[in-house]
Amino acid sequence: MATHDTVDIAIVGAGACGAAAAWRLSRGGRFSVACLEQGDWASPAHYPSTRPDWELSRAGAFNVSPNVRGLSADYPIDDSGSPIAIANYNGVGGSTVLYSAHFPRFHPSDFQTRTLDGVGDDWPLRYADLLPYFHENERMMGVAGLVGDPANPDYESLLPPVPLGPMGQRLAAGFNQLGWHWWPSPAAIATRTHQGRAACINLGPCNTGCAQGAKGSVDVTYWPAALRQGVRLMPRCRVLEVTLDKRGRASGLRYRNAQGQEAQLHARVVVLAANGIGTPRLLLHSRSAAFPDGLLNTHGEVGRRLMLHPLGYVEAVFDEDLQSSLGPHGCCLLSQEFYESDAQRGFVRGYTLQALRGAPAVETALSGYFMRRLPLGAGHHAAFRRLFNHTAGLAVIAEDLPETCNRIELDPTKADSDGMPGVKVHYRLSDNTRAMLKHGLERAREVLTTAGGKVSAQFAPVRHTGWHLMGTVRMGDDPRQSLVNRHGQAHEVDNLYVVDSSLFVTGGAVNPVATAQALALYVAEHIAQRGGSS
Amino acid sequence: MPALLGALIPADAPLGMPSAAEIDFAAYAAQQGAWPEVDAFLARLLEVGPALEQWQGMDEQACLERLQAFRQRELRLFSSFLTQVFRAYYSSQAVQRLIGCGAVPPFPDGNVLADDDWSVLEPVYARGYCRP
Repeated sequence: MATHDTVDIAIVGAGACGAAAAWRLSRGGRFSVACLEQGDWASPAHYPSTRPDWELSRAGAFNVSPNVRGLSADYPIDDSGSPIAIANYNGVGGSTVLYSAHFPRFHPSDFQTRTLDGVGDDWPLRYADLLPYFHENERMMGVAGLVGDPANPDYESLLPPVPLGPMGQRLAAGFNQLGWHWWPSPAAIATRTHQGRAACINLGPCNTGCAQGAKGSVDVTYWPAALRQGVRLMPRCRVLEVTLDKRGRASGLRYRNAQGQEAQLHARVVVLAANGIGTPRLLLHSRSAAFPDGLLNTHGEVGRRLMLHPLGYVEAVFDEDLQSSLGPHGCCLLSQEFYESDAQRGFVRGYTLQALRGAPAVETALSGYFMRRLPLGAGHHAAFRRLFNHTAGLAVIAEDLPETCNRIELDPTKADSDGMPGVKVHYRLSDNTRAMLKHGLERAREVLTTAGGKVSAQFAPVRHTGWHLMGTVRMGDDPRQSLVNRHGQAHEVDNLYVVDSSLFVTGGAVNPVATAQALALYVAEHIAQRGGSS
Repeated sequence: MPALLGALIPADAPLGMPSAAEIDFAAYAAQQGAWPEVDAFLARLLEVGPALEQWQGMDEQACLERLQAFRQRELRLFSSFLTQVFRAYYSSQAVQRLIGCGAVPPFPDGNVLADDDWSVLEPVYARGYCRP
């Protein structure tokens, strides 16, 4: 061991939820807070979006797959047993560095699916419990949108919405013609200068990193504030184990520091925020006499009920130039017409339709050629012009229900750069999910066609879309059926907390980060009110 | 190589587009580590097709026909090469400025999307939404 150190609160993971928790727990200066992050700060100057060949350079160090990146910060994830490949980013900011910043909240019904629909389980808390934290989080992240959405009526104020552009206007007309709900997307994008961040200039490739700083990734939102409040952020420190004392309480973290030395950080409270795969991975790797199969894994529940939001996608080509490659790619408008359960549809729960702007140039050319819409030789350029900026996409974000067979486990056959085992993912689509995706693809086709487009592609599930990692350390009131309580506090180790989306009891049908961060603030508030102790 | 590139993506004077032979494909291939794929394609092409000097004298149409015939025979090699050509061409700054990509990095001024007419939301307000 190289060093011994002591703090009040030690946080694992500097992504969306770790950053929010670090900010809240350091407010007022009552506690010494340290956050250990296996990756480093990302350099905006090196984001692919700063280069004309960003479509090519995003395939390297900023690839969405940790297996392709293969950086020292990454850990191997064998997702061959899943139709959905895992996507993430390991570094300060976590996956928010590469997310599209689509930022809707869960609905109230998402917290009561057992009561309302007889599936999944009810959460131990309600939407109303999180409401003040949604507001606080959206202020910190800088969320754009329009107040007044009938499907999401509880917003107080938002930055001006991201432009719909001609593509969004065209889709909106289609939704209106069908009489379906739609609304400008809530987006963690500064559409005007916000808390020192520059305004969005509609470049497009948000999910290759936003060098402008307009996108609300937590390296430019929570972290500057948290650092000003005195949080000690420790990048390139990989946590290997949550350690326990003789009484079975968390005593801190064993980790490998940036110099490659093993060290121990003692803490009165340990907070896990390593996402729905990283958090159970660490728990499973933290073995002791009290927990020989992994910390909290007394009943074999750690890592189970993984939810990933299987995604469908439909694309259409329109006759007119919709300027669809301009503007934030993932943030335009959404429809929640099919979000809530309807017995007539043949499945329970529902999905969101999320508009995606048109493909960039290289992707347009390649998909156009391989789908036989783009010829070689004479006529190539004219055909390209009929495709580029003429396409619009709709993603179907489907709610998958928590199932014990969908899980992660440690993979002893692969290890990260510090020798810690990787992860193997076991995931299958349920019949309910398949029916939901089929319905979603049909409705997406319907709206695109009504809007005047010709459907050119559709598929589900889309493989490389496993960003939404939820449900593997779920919360609940019953210690036999959950691992942490309604405050994110471990049932069996009372000074150990979880604050990330692994807490989720159900997955909702929207991008989870707004809800996950609100939950992190809620849990952090509880820890703070208890004086940073159990 | 210029003959092949020019046949696949020829210039289009009315649309003001350059041919793929006019971009620096060699620099692209070196930067992206694409030469092994390109070399494999070229080696096989010369092995089964006309000799090098014959390619050089061919017009674009004849060249394209030869390439299409090669495609039928060696689909994987052809597709791999064509992918590199598309990647090189459409990630070229010069091409991007001509096709409506908007601002092109680095350090762009950004893109302006016209103000939206939010009266388009009136029907959505009017319908409302039923939350359980």
